Amino acid sequence: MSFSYISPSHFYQFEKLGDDDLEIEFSSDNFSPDPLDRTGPIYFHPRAPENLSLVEAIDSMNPLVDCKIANLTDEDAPQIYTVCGSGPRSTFRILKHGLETTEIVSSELPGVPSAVWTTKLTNGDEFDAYIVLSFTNGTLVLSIGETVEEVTDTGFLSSAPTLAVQQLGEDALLQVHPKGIRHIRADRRVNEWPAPQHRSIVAASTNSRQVAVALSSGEIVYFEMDSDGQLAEYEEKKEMSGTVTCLSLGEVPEGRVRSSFLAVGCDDATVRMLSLDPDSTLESKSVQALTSAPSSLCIMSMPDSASETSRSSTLYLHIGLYSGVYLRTVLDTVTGELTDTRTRFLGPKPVKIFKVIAQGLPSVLALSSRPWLGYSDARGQFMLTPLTYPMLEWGWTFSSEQCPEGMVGIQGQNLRWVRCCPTVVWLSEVLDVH
Amino acid sequence: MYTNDELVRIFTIEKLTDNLQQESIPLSYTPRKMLKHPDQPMFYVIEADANTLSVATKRKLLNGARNGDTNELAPVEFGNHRGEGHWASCISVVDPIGKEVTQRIELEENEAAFSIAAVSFSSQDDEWFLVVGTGKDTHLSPRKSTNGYIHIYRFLNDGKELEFIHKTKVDEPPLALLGFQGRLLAGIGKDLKIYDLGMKQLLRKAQGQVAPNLINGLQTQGSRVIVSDVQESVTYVVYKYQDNRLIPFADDMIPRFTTCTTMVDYETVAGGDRFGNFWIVRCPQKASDESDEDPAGGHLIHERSYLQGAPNRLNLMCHFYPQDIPTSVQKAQLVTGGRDTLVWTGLQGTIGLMIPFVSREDVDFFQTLEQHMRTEDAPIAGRDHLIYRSYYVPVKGVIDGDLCENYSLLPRDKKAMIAAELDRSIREVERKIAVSFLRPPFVFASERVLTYSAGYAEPGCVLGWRNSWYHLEKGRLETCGDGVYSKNKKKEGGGTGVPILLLTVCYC
Repeated sequence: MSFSYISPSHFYQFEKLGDDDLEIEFSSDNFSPDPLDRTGPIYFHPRAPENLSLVEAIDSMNPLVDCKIANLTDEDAPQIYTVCGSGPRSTFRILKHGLETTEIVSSELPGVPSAVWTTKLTNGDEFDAYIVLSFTNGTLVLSIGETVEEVTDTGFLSSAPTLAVQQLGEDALLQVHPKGIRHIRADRRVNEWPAPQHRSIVAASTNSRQVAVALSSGEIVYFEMDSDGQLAEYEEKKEMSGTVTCLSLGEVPEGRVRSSFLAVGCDDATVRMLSLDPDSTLESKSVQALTSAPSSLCIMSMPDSASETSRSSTLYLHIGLYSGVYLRTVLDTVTGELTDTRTRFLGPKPVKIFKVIAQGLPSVLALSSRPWLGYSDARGQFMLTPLTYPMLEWGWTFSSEQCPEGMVGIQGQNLRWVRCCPTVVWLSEVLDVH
Repeated sequence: MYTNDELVRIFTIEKLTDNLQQESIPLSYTPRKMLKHPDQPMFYVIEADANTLSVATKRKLLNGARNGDTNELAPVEFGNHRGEGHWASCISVVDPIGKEVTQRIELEENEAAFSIAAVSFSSQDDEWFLVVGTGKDTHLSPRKSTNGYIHIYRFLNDGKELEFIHKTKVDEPPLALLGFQGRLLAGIGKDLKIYDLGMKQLLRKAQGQVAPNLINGLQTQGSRVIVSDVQESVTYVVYKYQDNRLIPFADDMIPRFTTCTTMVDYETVAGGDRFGNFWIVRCPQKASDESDEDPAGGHLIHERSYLQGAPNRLNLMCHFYPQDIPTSVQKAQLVTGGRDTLVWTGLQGTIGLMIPFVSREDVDFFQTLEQHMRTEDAPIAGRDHLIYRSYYVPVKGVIDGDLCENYSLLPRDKKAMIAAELDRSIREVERKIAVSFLRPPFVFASERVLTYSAGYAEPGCVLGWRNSWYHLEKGRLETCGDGVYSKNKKKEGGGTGVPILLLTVCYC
């Protein structure tokens, strides 16, 4: 191990002990300790290290001599240009803010997908089995195995786009498409709930036991799974004042049978929290007014340093707006009230929000003109950091044997240029947050 | 099926470090200063190494060597060839987009580059030229040189190449160069000189002795020039066009060994010194107005000098000991649409940020929070935070953001106690910290540990650094655009007497 102030610190590994090479050896025993005694010169050839191999180097900017901040690549944040180091190891460095991502694979697709999901087959599965891609006129299901192959006998409706995919209950699958909800049982029996006539489903949110859909008429229909694994529609329907743009249910908390809140975003720039308790189903609990219409919602619990006990987590509602602003508010688990709103402008494009896993902790992937990851850092503080990755249209978690904590995303470079190739990319599994 | 496509790309992760991505372009010698092309995305870096053989000398010596081994060893592994009294120096043209060095001009005849500027000469139809100040046979301690030169280069091919035009001999190596009203302003020793570009050499137009020791940095707005001296802080100088005179009218009372400065607004200068201090000084409004009143400057010339200095003294607005020696400071927006902040870099690799407070209420809040944090989050080595941050001059007008951020790491009972003192809930305090600091785009997760260990160590190591620093870097220069003075401009920046909040970020 070598530590250095003015150059990177290096960590070496012994390859061999240097006792079997042909180098000439010199020993101090052969020379007089008296500096006044004359000794003959010693000749040897300097060479690169052979007995040690470099394992890792820790970057160092010491000495940092000069710096300029400029935005030369037209990104949304400026870059830091520095000159540092000394002698022949000095460097000109370009510093950019962002988490490093590693692309595992990226592949071209036949059309322009608008969304992608991954899903397990049963509740107990560790890894995802299907990748579901939604196109403007259909749905494509790929199975994940040794290779990624198209499968057709999954029970998914392939002739319509998809709005949501969910592994439901123990071993069933669920597909929400504009004309209805498809509940696919383990034996491939399909129960279909058709949307009412002349209306279609515009937004949907699901978790392992609950489904909520918003119809084009502004109605919200709520389903819950009963004890025999059937989806039961609730009588109560809620008519919203404006068109519903997004919904979020949140995960079912451990030891409970349902998530008790549904967040509804409407185009009148509000988010309403509806109760899902059986005695007050779809009753409005609270309203949050926003500066612009919400484009995406996500209820999820995350670790929080300010919460009552040190290791507990807090329920948050993450809101993405059409104006490119991202909001994070604390959702009170009892009253449904929204407090402590923090906002951040992410980019000029509408924000889409997805729940992902980074370093084993629930994190938020927020997509605008560039992808951002919201996570709790080592100190329990919430950090929102851009990824060094191109703009994504959609993202979802991806978990397989090779990549247990990955993400899958759609990069539709510019959807007006339909002929340019959109790609599906598997983002890196690991985003080091420590 | 799709994965077998030709477009499949598989990548591996090389390193999992922090949330700042670095890309490096190798340089040949120790960099001294850098400059951005005024319009193009190109950088010019001057590099110089003392007691190192230049390429030309090495070639000459190798050609003369008849016997023995002339195999050349890679400089990155084995270092450059050493030679007492020799200098190796070059100007590198760096393309940060293409990530390459497009041209490297090696200086010859034992010259070493010390300063760089881009100047648009009015006499040449406002064409931009690259100006490099060099010293010949420079000896660092004690400082002496045979003479200095000012090289002029023309930008070719969108700045990707440089063409040498001519060089002008001057008495001493110029340590500070700056474009000033269509001409070149050079700090040569104690003198400030104005040059225009001639056919065969630079033509001296004006001269004034304005600094007590050695000018090592220049900043300008309008006809005001901020001259930093290697030992005597900054002097405000006004250039009177009609009289063609450079007149100092305000200086500082503390001898700061200035390393870098930047103008925060027309009256205010932020800078760093060689002992690791960061400070902001401001010229009194009356003196500032008077300096611009008389176009001939007759009044200023005859004004009485006060205590053997300039007629007026600067006021100290902020002072802080960030523990690293600032090497550059600049005003920048790190978040689109965000506030103007002061970004500084330190010799040990620190990138730090000073965020101006907007409201008095915030100042009171953070002052109280800082006070509590000092007692509740005392370092284990027992060094008092206030003593540490006031190592040379008592800390003034700055709140330690790093310390305040440690609030979230405190045990819950201490958090609750401090929050109660502040009349707020814990969540509100944390929210206030997060919103006020709005973490800049380059904060490292591991930075806390580093700041802590570095920050609370006895600064013996810093002295060592200071000595090497003294030899390494003797001057600095910031080129900022020729801002034209206007009444609106005066109100810009953190110039309203509001303390500045500090967020130091250490990255070593």
